Amino acid sequence: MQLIINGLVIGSIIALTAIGLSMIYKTLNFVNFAHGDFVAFAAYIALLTNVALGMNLAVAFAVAILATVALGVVVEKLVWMPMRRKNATQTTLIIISIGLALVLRNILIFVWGGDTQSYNIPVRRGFDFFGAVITPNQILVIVTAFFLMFLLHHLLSRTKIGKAMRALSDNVDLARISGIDTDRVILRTWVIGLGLAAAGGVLYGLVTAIRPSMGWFLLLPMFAAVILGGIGNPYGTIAGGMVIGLSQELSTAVLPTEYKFAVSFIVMTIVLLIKPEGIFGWVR
Amino acid sequence: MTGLTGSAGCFDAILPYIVTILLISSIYAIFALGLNLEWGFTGLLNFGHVAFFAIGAYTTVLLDLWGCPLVLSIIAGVALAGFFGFLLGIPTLRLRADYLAIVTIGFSEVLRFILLNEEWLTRGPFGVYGFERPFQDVIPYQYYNTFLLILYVAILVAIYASLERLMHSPWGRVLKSIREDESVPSALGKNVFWYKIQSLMLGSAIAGLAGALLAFYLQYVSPATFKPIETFHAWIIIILGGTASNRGTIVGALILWTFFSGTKFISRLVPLESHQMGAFRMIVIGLLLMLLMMYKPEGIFGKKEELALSD
Amino acid sequence: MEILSVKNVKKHFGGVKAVDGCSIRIETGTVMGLIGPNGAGKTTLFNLISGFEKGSGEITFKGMRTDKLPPFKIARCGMVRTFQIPRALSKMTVLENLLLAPKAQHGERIWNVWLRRKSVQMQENTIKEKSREILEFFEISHLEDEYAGALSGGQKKLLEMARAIAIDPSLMMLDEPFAGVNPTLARKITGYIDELREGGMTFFIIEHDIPAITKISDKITVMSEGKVLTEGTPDEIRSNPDVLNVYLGGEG
Repeated sequence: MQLIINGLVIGSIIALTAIGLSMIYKTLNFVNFAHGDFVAFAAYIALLTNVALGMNLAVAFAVAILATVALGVVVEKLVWMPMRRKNATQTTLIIISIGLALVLRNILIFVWGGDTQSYNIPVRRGFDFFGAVITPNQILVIVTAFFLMFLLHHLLSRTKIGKAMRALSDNVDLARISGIDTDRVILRTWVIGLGLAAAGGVLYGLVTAIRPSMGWFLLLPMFAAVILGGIGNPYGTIAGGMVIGLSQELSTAVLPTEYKFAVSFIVMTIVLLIKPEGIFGWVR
Repeated sequence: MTGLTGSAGCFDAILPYIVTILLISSIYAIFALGLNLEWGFTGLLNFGHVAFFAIGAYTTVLLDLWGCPLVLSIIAGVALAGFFGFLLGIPTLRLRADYLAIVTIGFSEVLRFILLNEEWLTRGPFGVYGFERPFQDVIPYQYYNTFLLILYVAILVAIYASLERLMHSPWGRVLKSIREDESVPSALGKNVFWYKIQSLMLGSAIAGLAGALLAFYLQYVSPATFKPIETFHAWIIIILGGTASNRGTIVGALILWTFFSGTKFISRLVPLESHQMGAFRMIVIGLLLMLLMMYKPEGIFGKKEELALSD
Repeated sequence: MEILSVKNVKKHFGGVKAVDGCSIRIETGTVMGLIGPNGAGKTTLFNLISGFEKGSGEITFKGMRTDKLPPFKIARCGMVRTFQIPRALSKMTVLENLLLAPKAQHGERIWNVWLRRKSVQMQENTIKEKSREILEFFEISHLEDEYAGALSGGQKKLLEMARAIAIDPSLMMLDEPFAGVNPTLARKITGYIDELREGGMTFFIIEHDIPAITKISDKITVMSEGKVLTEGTPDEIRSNPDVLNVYLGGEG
């Protein structure tokens, strides 16, 4: 039971952060290796606001999302948009994203050091829940994550920009022909994708220690979630994230905890072997 | 890296220092030549090249410690690295280019966890030492690094020559056609998947050899020797020198390690802590990778006409 | 004798029936034209025959079932195709583009590069010689050392045909060889096709240029909405009211 709770917590964070990765992957046709480092960046901005500036965590949450999105927009304008104009290939973009990942992560190390840190929040006792312990922080994570996913669902299915985003990630050429301003939609995809990733990063900091490599270690589970869910399918990605989170935690019952990370690798490889287009394609 | 004492200018003090730079450069040149075969000539995105480096190093030194003759240990290390290249290629090389990147980067991290945690096999975080080095009984200790340098440069030249010959053969021609548009060689009856597998296997085997050479030089291997960043050292070497240029790769390795040694000098002058210096180096590497890909993707020696980086 | 037989081949993309039960037979040494309005499924049919896409139905080439084979194996049987938008390897020279094509090159096996250096070198010279002859046939010898990316659209079309010839095929499938080509070059291409057919080669050609295709074809198949509408000699096709109807946007 404890493992299932932990799995749901981690799963909802993976799901939240992976949605942006998946949408960008499909819309811009490249896999952004810096995505995890945006997640870590958000956690550190929250840390800065919360600890160094002494604000409460809700404020820190908002500041972190704004700062991460702002960074994402700057990178879009300075890097991705010019490269799109040059017709850069997918592989060129991927290599640039790896460079960006190195820069971001090492800026975090440069400023904050490589040690683990945590928010300045009171430690509260967990509740007993069918024989397992669930902490208020864990509840907060799950509730916030599901609330944000619900908001996303509303945005994608009800608003015009959401529909344009889905159209663009379904078929870029078709969307362009039908008169969608692709640059604007791409920008908003970044904003929403990185906003969710930032939220996930702050929440992740609530349940684990904050360190510069936290995004890096989240990257592989996120990839696994994206591939499981089918690239560009937000609902599939959410399902994939939950599966990965649960299977990572449940694996600790039989495997040493160090191999949690390997679980997503193995799941991903198996999916690529048998059904590379993803197994949650029907979740629409 | 050892050997630097006192002020520069004294030849006896500076010479061992130069030898170590050349040694580490030649090891990384070989390591990066393997990746250049995969990425530069075939277009394969391998982000876990360090895994094959580690497999080569660990297999060689562990077999040696278990009493296997040194030459056989090296061959086994190279072969096993190639074999894992084959294994990783199977699920990924039929699919889009980025799947290989994701799977290899994941593999290199999983491998590092195994090296850290399976102490019965790998001795865990403390690493492996006390293994034999080639001709260590014959060569006097004070000349040993010089001997290694000559040996490594000879190996580097041999690998360089072999790769050049391969790239100018019909085999290399097929690889280049795959890099550009794999539907063309397919339509002309070439088994594209199998060529990609071969390229990945050979590149990985070369990385395995480089791993064994690194182990002999360091006299010590540990999981910390094979962090993901080593993969990106190889990437920056290739892109700096010029993608798909073997000569450029060698020059790139030399530039990178001279730069690293240079930053060691500077670190004595600027008030930065050691983790900050390390991070600063990585920021430079990352920025360089981005800027080169954006503004000078052909590097120093690459030919712009032959780079398949935009449509 | 028939070289290619396609029986009841189908390919659906989601709800779209791109190819919906096509059957075609091509006799050795003839030129078969394939016409039909945009979206009729012509290129998809080519993709199915050459193995780039998989559907249902039977495809037999030279008496062998090929519908389950990957594209490279089909090409090795002697069937070669060109692409609608020419895919010249622009980062390689014109000559290199041709050298890539021939089958069973010793030097394409990694060990032979060392173990059979002599025979690799000899074969390479033979292939070079043959490639130069092909370039001469298509009158683009002067472009031998140019990077293919520097060629004009028409030259790329010729290069792609030359590269296809270099594999020494028995069936050539051309996807719109006359599209975007000036009239002089089009006349030349017609001449090349005629000459190669005299030499015993079979052609299967998608084309929108009706006058051009009726001039070189022995038979023409008309496709519409994934199905074969009719088949016949150029004269029969020209006088068939259904064909006209399809092209003028009738229900088909």
